[in-house]
Amino acid sequence: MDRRQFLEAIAGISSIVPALALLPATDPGAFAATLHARAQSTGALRTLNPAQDATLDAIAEMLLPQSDTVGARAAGVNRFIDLLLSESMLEADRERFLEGLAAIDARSQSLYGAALVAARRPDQEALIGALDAQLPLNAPTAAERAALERQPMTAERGYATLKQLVVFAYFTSEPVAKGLIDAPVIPGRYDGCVHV
Amino acid sequence: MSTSEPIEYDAIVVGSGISGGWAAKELTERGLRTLLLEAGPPIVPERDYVEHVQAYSLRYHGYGNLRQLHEQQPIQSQTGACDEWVSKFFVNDHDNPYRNDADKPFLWIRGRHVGGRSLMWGRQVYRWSDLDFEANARDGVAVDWPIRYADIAPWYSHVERFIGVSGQQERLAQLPDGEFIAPMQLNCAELKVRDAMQQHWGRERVLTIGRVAILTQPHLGRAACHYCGPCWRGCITRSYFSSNGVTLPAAQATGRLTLRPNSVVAEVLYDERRARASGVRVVDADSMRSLEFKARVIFLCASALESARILLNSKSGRFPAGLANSSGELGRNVMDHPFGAGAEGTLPGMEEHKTFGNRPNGFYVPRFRNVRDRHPKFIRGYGFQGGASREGWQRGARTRGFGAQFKQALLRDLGPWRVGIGGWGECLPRPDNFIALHPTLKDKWGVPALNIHCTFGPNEREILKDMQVTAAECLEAAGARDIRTFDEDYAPGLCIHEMGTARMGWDPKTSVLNRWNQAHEVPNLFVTDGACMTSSANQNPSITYMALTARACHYAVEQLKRREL
Repeated sequence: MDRRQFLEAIAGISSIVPALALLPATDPGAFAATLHARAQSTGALRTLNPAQDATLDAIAEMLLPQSDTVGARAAGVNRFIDLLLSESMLEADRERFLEGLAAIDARSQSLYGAALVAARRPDQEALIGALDAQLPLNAPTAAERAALERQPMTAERGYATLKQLVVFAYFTSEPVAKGLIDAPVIPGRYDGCVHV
Repeated sequence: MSTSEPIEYDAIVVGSGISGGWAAKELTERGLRTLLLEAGPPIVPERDYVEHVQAYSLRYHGYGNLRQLHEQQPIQSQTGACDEWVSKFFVNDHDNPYRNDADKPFLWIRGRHVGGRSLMWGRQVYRWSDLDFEANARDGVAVDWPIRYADIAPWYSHVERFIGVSGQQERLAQLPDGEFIAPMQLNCAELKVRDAMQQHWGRERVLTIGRVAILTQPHLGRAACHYCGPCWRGCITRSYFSSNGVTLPAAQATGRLTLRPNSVVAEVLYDERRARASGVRVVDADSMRSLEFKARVIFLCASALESARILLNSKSGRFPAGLANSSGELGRNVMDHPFGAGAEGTLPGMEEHKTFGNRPNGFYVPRFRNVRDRHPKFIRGYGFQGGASREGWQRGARTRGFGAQFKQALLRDLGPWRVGIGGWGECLPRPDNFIALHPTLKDKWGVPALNIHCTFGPNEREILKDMQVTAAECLEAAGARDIRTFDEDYAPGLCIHEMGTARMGWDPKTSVLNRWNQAHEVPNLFVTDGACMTSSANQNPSITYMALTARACHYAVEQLKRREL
């Protein structure tokens, strides 16, 4: 299947792929896998609306993009985060997460006059770069967390939470944890000092 | 209950955790037909142990179902081990209620199943010394321990030889060496910290590998550790000590053990005419029927607060305030180790090195405060536990960067060496830290729930402060950067070392148990779990419970033979 055939084949689902422009066009195989994963995941979303999903997906793929190893999208990051939002997270945390997503979009709107997914790629990267530069390098203490939760949401805090979840979702996904991370389940011995 | 079940035994043991498992083994091996009553369900290792289950196989990849935890286990889930894999090993907080004053939180973390908390425990085992056993007498605190190190030392050996304790001999008076099997390795960063501390403090602050009840070599039919890592999720190779893997099989091998799960002990029955305990009343957790079992000797090993709760609920004309409680000390002197304070930092260098395998152990720094010197602000002291490691992808959430290179770096590289050191401090016994039966609240099985009153006092708070300073000093000496001190401000209980509610002592007027863990007032009643502790020391207490249990069983059987119980 070449790229053209593939695009025809997925014509029916292209409407639920708002970030098509972000997809790599050079590797049809990866492109197909990506779209299948995305079509499957979008169909199953229970908490994220299409706009929220697109924003999350765009940022996740910017953080951990498809390269010679799978990216966030192909690893099912958005579907997994939607599962956590729908079943696991406490309501207050879920609301904070969605507020954070909205705060990032609002920042994009005020800087570039467009929501994040509609902004130009360089603008998207500039915004994520600016938010990333503010990422706290230490996990907050319990007291710091409690104090933060009383403050209004900001794009910076929204980004920090989102990055944490995206990293967790990606690296605990089966294709990554099983396929890419070299950690034997039963090492059989412990050595306190081996060469990298 | 099947009608063929004999209802008269030589011994009844209440609780199948670390202490109860030992009581069952020792009593059956010494010839007693023993009924072991466990409040919770059986454990089937092939079904219940999940140490090799990978995160991606779980619905939430280890993130857990926080809504369900918040609803069903709001207290239990405050300990890290109550995770998506094994929250099933912790009780349901609704079925097992208790209360505390709103401004005095106490976290009571429990496992009700065969093996109890021996399945999820931390496996750290440290002998006490006379610095600990003499402490109350020396400081004029509470009452004197009725035993000294010489009384318990052979029983530590007895326990260590059977369970297998991995550790390094250090010849320190305050932390006696045990009968160790091969130690685990310190890693390169930990060796650097150890050497730096040696240079700065000589033999005063010694860093050694943790002493753990984990096999580094095959031992009495059990396999050596394979370093998969998460011991608290079970161990199919029985490489760490649990009742299920070690003491209960030994007890079963005698043919004299009857293990009865789902048996909630509500009270110990007292025969006023004979002035002896006659048996126990049990609520069958499945049928909710009330049953009675009789025995010549009774061992309470249900955990410090549970054993005291059972005794408080065992009221009679002779003991209106609870069995064996003429002293009024039953339920008092609750202790738990203050912990969660220390320091962490980054150790530069050694970037060409990493570790292989998941060592289920860290390093230990034996107590160095108030050993020879005298600290101006507090009595007693603390030990450090810690470890060094290089983070993998987990550092990604707190590492700046994004894009393909960021992703590849998280996949391929490791973060710098991070070292964390946290203190486990001694807690002083205070009569105003106490438990009492709640006037109306009952658990699912109709047993009165507890009111728990417990706070840390000024001595514990000073210890928590000092831990942070000295932990940072150790890191600084090792050349660490970005040193950050911390105090998590944990409520008492979270260390899961609760103890002291039926203390041992010389005087029946001021203690519940004598020097053999035998109730002063009820000779055939023994309490050998954490309830018996007269002080807390700062060492992880489990091996002391095991040794005291074995010692008390030996004594009880000798007394039974002489018909003196």
